[in-house]
Amino acid sequence: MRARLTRTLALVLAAALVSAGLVACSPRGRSGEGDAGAPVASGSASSGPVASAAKPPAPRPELLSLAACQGSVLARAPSGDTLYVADEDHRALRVVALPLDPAAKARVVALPGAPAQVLAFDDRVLVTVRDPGMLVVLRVDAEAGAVELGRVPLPADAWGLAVTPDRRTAIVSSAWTHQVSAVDLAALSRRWSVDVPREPRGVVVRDGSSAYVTHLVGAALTRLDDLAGAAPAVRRVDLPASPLRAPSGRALLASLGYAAALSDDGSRLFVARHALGAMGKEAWFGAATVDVLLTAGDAPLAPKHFGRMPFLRADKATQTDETKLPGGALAPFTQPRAVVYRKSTRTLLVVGEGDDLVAELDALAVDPTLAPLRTYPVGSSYDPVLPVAASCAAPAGLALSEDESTAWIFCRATYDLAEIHLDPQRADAPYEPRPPRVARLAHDPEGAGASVGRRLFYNATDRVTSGGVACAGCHPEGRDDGFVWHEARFNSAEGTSVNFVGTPENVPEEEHTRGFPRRTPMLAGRVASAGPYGWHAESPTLDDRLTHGLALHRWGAMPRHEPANLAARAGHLVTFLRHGLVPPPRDERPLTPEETRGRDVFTSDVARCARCHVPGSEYTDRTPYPLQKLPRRDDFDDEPAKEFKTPSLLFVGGRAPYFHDGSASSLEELVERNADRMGKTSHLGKEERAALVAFLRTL
Amino acid sequence: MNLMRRARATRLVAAASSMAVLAAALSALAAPDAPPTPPAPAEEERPLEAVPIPAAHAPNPKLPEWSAAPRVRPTRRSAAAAGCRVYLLHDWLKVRCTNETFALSLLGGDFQGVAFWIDPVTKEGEVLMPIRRGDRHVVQLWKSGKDASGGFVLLPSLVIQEHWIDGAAAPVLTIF
Repeated sequence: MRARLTRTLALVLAAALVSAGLVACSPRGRSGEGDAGAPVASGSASSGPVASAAKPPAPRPELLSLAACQGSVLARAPSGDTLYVADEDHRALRVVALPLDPAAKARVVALPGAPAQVLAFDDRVLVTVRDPGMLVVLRVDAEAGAVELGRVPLPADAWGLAVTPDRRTAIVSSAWTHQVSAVDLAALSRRWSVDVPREPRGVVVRDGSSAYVTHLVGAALTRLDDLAGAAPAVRRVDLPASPLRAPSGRALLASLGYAAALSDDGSRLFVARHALGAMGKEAWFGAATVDVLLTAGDAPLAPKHFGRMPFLRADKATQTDETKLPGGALAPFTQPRAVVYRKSTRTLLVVGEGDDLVAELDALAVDPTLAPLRTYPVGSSYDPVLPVAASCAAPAGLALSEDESTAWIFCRATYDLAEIHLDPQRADAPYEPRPPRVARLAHDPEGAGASVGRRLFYNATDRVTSGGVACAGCHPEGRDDGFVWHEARFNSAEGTSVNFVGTPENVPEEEHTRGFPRRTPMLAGRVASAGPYGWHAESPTLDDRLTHGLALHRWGAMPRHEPANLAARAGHLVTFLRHGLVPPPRDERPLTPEETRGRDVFTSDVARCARCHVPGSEYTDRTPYPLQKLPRRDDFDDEPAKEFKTPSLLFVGGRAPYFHDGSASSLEELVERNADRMGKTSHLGKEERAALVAFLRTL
Repeated sequence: MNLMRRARATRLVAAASSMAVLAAALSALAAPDAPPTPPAPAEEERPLEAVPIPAAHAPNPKLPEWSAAPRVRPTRRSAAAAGCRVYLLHDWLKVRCTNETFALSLLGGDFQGVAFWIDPVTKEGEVLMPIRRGDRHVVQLWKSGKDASGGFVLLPSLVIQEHWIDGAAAPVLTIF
């Protein structure tokens, strides 16, 4: 009797679901039903909805949880039996069956470009594609893993991804083109795009009407309101980085803002990133941080740090600078790449790209980095000579199981998927660490040499290559952090050396040095030349630049090493920098009339821009010239050198600020201030200057 | 060794190099120069969030009052902080940790009412602070240690973090 009743109820429920259009929302295996139709082959140039996607499922009454609204480099299907991995370097979506079987082969769905993030809900899989910029919408398919339903063209370098809880709208950030777009998921069309500051990355939807966007450059977030409208309200939200590690009364800048996560109630936003110049023992570069924003008033949770605060010491001695700062390790992770809120334990799981681990932090704390609960190493098989992981190097994203007892991590430098068993964080459930189960999804597409270079590029634990932060820490994806470092000569326990530091306060006060300004250069697509390299053309080759440059990127002197091993590191890195880094997307189209006019100005014998910025050689002649000194910037020492090598102008439009000291915040300001310092531009009228800037943006 | 003798001789001390520190010192001086006897270990801890905290601000409690203060359980604490006991009285919080403590410093938050104490005999550290809506307090505890050459150094011990967000029903206290 009961069985019959249950069956009847099930039938009624099924009928109701069908009438509500929910068949398409059931997991997997619906090929040929509902909107399955004929899938669009990957690589198709179609845009907008395909016929089968024209009838999207009707809105379901229930809303997605906030965690389910957020994209990442990998996503778990709601059914729990599949993981989707956005494999950027192989331009593919990998469909991995769960439970994870290292011997099983994942299905591969070719994509029209390199994917960045994936998001799975109901029977839908959304993927952002960087170049050409688009959102690819797929449907779960039992045979193929996923079949494409449509593509929505977006501004190039589509990266971060989130959906509104009602499933109607996808919000996508486009990193290089610094825009955020809304996609109508029913119509598969772009509803709006808005301009935002540099390098927008992580997107977090707070509710149906507002979203936060993190940036790879700068500490501020972007908030978008009225997502459902024709154009959202865009505003900046200040969130100083790691305030407890800041110099007294100051706010620190940030970089590496790849990701953020909301608490389950949406009241707190956790932003994982790097605090530039954060203070601590030997913290030349700063420290990784998770900064907490209270979303009710968009205010930071952590208080500002001031130098003169209550202090007590048992021997009555006065307070030293070191005791004004948190005393523990700088951070339990390096180069945060992803962060996930674990609701059942009210903790955060932060993926440390630089140290091949996942750190679990207390999400309740004012500063979660001061409350680490556990770290889970995922990297293994470290090479004894070049100590980088051969297994699971550079973790980039994390997905949780439904019960939050298991996490899967994709490692971008070795194309591995690691499965780790998480600490239940309960006193009655002791945790027994186990080594991660690892499945290799692919091999390095650039070969063995680039593979080692790729792992070195992201690795922060090899003390010879990096002094605690990897190449990718300042050159994320080979781009730049938009930061002006202090190149300072000072004494440490290892003697006198020249190092980069984030703030003058990173240097011992008695040194009385603030360093010379050195803006981080962009690498991707700009290191093909034989040489010379360096601000003053002091390095004849890229290998030489790396071997000398590695000494600068640390605290104190280079540790003892075999010269041959240093040369080997440089060689592997050069291979990766030239062949593994992907340049930003370029808008290949004819110049507009204004840009053409700007090119004429650029190449004219009067302006003489092209004499040094030679178009045929990456817009540089790689020659140092004496230039009129720029005014000394506050916080820096006066620059003694007058000669600077002509910098390449490739991708100049997307990498503000400008000059070696970062003193020009935009190309407009650079041209405006230039007068006749470089070439001759003082005679240019307003329109010619604008045209010149327009042309520079195309390079 | 001398340092340790000096530590034993230390009574109530609060650095007074600034107005901020002076405020802390005055606050500390209002308290007696000996720590209250902690309640028996068997005393039950109530969750911090389960204990009502009055909105009205009360003056810094005196010693006899503390001896009757109920123990509360921090929202979260690490195994290293197992020796920390927390007492709540009116809108004042006292954290006393059995961990060897050589120094305490307020890293961030409102300094008003914050006071530190180190027991000269047991070397236990104690933090007194108001606990009110809008609060933020982050306190670092330090212990003594030796560097690679055997010299005295301060080593980080525990971090106490307290905050009470406007609109939240209760404060949050974590000790790691």
